[in-house]
Amino acid sequence: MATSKQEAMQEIEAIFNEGKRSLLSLHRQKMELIHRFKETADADEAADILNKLKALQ
Amino acid sequence: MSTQEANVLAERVIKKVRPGSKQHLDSLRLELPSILEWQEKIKTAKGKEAAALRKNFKEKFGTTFNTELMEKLTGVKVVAEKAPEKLADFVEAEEASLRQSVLEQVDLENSIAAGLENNQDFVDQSANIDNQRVEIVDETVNHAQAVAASVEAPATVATKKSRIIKKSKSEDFDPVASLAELKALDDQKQAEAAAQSALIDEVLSNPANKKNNDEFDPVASLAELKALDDQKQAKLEEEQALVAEILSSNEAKETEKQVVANEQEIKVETQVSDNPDAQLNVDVNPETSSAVDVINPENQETTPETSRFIPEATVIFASLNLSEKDLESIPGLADMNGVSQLLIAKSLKSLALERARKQVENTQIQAVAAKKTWAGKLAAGIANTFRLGKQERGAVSDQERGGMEKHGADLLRLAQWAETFDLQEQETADGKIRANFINNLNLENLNDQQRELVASFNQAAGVLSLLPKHWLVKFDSVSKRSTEYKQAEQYFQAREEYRALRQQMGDLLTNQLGQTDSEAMKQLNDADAKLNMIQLMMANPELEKEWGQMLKGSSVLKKALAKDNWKFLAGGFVGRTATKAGLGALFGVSVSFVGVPIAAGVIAAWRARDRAQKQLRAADRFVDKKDIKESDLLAKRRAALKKLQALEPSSYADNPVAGQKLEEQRQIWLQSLSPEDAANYRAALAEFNQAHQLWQEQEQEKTERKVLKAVDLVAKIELLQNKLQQASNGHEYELLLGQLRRRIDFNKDLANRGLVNFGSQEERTTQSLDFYQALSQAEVSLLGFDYDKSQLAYERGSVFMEDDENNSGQESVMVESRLEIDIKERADDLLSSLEYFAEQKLDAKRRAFVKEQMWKGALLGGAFAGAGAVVGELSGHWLSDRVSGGFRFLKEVVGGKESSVSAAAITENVNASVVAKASAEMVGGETATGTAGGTNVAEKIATEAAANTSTSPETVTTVVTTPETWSNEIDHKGDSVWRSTRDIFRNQAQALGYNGDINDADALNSWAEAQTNQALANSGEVADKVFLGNQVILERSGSGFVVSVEAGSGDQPDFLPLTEVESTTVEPAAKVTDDLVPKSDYQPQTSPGEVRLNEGNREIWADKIGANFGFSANEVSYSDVNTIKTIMGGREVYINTVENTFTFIDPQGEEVSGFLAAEDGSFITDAKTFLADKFNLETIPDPSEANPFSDLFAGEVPGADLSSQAAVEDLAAAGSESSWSELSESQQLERVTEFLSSGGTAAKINSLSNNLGITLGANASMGAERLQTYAVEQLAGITKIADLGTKMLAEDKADLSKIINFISTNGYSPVHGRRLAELAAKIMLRQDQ
Repeated sequence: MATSKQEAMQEIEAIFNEGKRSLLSLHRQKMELIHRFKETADADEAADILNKLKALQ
Repeated sequence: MSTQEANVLAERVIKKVRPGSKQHLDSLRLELPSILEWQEKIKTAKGKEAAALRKNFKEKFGTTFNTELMEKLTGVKVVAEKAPEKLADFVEAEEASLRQSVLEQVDLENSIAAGLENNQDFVDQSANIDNQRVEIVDETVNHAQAVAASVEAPATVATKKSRIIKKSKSEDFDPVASLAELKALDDQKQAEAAAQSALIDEVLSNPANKKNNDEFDPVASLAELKALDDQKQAKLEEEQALVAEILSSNEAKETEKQVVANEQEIKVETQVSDNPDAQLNVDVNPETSSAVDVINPENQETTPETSRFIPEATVIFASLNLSEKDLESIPGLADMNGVSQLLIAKSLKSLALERARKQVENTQIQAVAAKKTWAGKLAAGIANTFRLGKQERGAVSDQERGGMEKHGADLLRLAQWAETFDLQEQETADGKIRANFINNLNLENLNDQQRELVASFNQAAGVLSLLPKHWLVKFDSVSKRSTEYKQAEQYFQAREEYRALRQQMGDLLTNQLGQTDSEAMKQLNDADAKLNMIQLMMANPELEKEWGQMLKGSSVLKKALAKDNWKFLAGGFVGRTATKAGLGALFGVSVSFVGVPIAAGVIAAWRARDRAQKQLRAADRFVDKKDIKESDLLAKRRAALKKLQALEPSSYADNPVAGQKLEEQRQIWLQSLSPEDAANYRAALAEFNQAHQLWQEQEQEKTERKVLKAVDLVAKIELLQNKLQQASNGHEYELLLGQLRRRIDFNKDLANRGLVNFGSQEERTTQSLDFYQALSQAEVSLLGFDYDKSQLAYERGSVFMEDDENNSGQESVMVESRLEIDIKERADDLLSSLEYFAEQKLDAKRRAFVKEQMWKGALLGGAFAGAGAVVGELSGHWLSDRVSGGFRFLKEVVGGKESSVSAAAITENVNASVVAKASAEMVGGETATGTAGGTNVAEKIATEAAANTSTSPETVTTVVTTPETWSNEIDHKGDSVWRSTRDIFRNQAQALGYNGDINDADALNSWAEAQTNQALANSGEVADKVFLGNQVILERSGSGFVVSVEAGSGDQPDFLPLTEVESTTVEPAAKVTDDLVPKSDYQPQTSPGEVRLNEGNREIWADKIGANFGFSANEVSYSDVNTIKTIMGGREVYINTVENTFTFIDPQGEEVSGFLAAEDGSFITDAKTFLADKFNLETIPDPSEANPFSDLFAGEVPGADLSSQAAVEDLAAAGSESSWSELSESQQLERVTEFLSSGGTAAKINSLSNNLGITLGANASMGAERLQTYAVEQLAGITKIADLGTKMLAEDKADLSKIINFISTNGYSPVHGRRLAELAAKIMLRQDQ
């Protein structure tokens, strides 16, 4: 536990840095999620078009 | 000591001392006041800004900014002294920074996630992440606060908290106080306040309402969390929900009248903004008028029975508190037709809304700016978000009460402006009044079909005019499911429909109604101009919606928490960035003013085509110089000249000016010579003359240029402009600027020489118009983009001209730069006056922004302002104005009021007048240069137009009565269709309409060449193989000429057929002599075993001989003497047809060569199979062709992603030359090689060549020219693989079943799979049709 203001500031800074790291990790997760869904959406669309085309053949 | 002095001192000192040393610190201490200011700045800045400040600090003071430094400078205790508050502040700052970074991340995520909003799975999963994010933020902050509290007296932290809370309850910031404010929010509605209070109590007492936040997504709620502690947050949410409730219910009551008015207005507006199929319609139904009276009871008294304003406009005006009496005071407004009145009304309302937004923005900015400290700014920023709704409503309300006092100036401007562009109205069959885009057309003289076309055209123009231009911009960059995409599609469809009908209108006006092309172009240009103007003025549904939204207020809170405003919550001092709709409404006004000099600027730029021509000639010279080394003829000519000069005494030969005297002196000298010397001299002279003539003929050959299609030229200009708009400043930007300028010059030169093909008779008018509009828009945008450069050029005088010695070049730079300055000043004036009327000043940054936006708007507007002027110019008018022609100028030119003059003056179509002007050589331009600006333009036009009727070349062609056909025989080696045609023009110049000085050989030549080019362009495919004795026939056709070739004493002229080569000389093992033979000069040779090949023949030879080795025509190309080339498995394989050998480089880089002979020694006739079997060539993978479409199409070479036409454009524009045709063959080859060798591009070209059946290669014989033709003709418009598919299908090159099979059997990446599926779908669609 911090005993001086200086230490406290350092500790606070560390806490926030840790927070930022966690948030960044969440951000990455979210971006991955988005990309995954985007890809799936594209694939779904492609499959959909393809099915329709096959039905027409 | 002032800061500045200190800086100077510091700089001096710092340079000498070591950073961190005592001496350094001492020197820095002198700077302490300044450093403390820096400290404040750095601490309040964030992210990159802070980093940049730190960097600057280091540069300035020679040391890194940090706490340690500050402690050293200020004494260790400084930090300690500030400690009690410091920790809490520190936590607060860190927290804000943390939240800011979260918001930035969320921003990024949201922008990428566009299109997934409706995917429930995604929403759920992302909500999970968002919730975690909220927790982390909370935990982090709580933890940090706990640490702070453990060191500082808990009371201090508590004090800090309570300070915030206290502050939030103060005048500056408090949700509760905000509620109170909301209760009292309209000072006119005090009575309503009680009801609100009651409502608040009711809501507060009902816990169910607390959770009235379903519509808040986790991301939004994250933003709501702000710096308040947990307990506060629940309260805050509750209160926010309340605010929303209250605002919506309250709004309904207190603005009953406004809402009614609004609804009424929406009836009109839905036609305008919500329903794209609607028109700028005015229902003349009398019932609507009575509705107006109900809406505006206060105006009822003053409304005369026979109002001079249409009801729909009156409704809108009334909503801005403008009575009819007010409207009457605006000169000209009452006399305008209904459509114009409505347009003005709507524009005024847009302006008012924009002003309301500005007002809110300014209020908020001021509130933030008033706070000195970071925390103060933060609090003010937060407070702003809660006040936004109220402020908006207040601002709108202000505008609604504004009346003449607030809106008078704008109204006056709009009315003045509307007068200049003369929007006509027309009553339709169903009693609606509709904007009429085609003026001066008497419908009674049209048949039903024609009338229907006019109606459809007006309808389409009306629809398009109501869609904002920016809808189209995002077409390619957004998700297919997004609103933007749908808007872009909507815009695209509307635009296509308009364009199609516009073309039909062009056909109607010219071919059916007998207008000249010029008249028709002016009419259509006028229509375009109106459309653009209306688009700018009112096609802004967003603005309209927002207006309604502000008033209704139900979404105010949502707006407060909308993405763009989160930054307030987080940072507070970040200026509000959202002016989504921008200054579009403002442009409606500003364009007309800024557009004035722009129109003039285009004229000036067109007149400054001296520059273009000189630049092109400079390019010619460059080519010439390169060719000098290669030209034997020139060497001979030089030698002969030298010899001649050696014989002549220099005493008179050096006299370059006195021609007559020179000749006299020569005669005297000749007589003085001995007969022997005289004979020598005459022989040398004859030698020189012969060499000179031959050389000139060779040069002449070079002036034969290809006629290029207007559509392609337009496409290229547009492409470049798009690139420019997207390019950031820097090297690429400058390159593009240069390219655009060259492209413009090149196109102008083509136009001047009649080398532009404007398409079929039906398309000609619109394509000409498109061409000139594109050119003038490019000119305008160049002025805009190039402002700084022009400024620089103004100072230096030589940026635009490569040739510094050229004074006129400098002059043209000066003219352009002055123009820029003038435009900028004008924009400044306009801003100042707007500020004056708005009674508020813009800060410098904002002012610059507005100016830039105005400039952009002006550029947008420049297309029509400029084109109107340029069309006038091209039509044979020599408008003697300059920039200072000013407002009147625009009126005259764009308003179309000079059309009566033009009708009399223009007797030739535009194409011909362009051609004729090539000979006139800017006579008008020069006249104009000497004319003082600001004179009465109308007078000038009239005078000069009258003068033109008797003297201009355009008019003369119509009175030619000479025979209607002319002919010229191909009578000597080196003659050609082009030359013979030119000779006809040259020899029959006067009969064919030349009105210049017949003795001025240059002018005559130039005219004859231009006429020849144009005539050939009009003539479709003219036989390219001619024989001695064939006749070239020139025939008058309409206003122009066509050329045909007839058999004379020689063989029948024809296109060169394959059999021709076979039947004459070429045998498989024939020897080939590569020789320079002028094009179109192929003379059948009979000497066996040798054929002289020009470029065209070579390919034919290669195709033919390739067949003997088992290759199809598409698979082989000429490579070198006796050598053909083919591509197998991505390798270039060379086959020597005489020696029966093959050569290629294997994947290891080793050369592989050998005889095309079987093991038994017999010659191979099917080299293709032989090589494929022996070396497995077909399957050698080519890394450059690792391509997703590799086995998709017919042929072995893969297809490719044609995502851009840019590659081909680059090919043509890669060098500094203006045009492909100006490059020597070797230069072309160099360019092609460079182009083809550049990675993916090679695959592209290969793919295209195979899929489209056009053989291309990387060597000269493939014909660089063919590549260019191919690029222009085949690639134009192809930007997507799907388009390629369509084209392939049209050419029977695509196999649907193959594609389907491919997609289903290959595990393809989703993106590629989808694109392939799209392609298949497109092909399927086409097959169904």
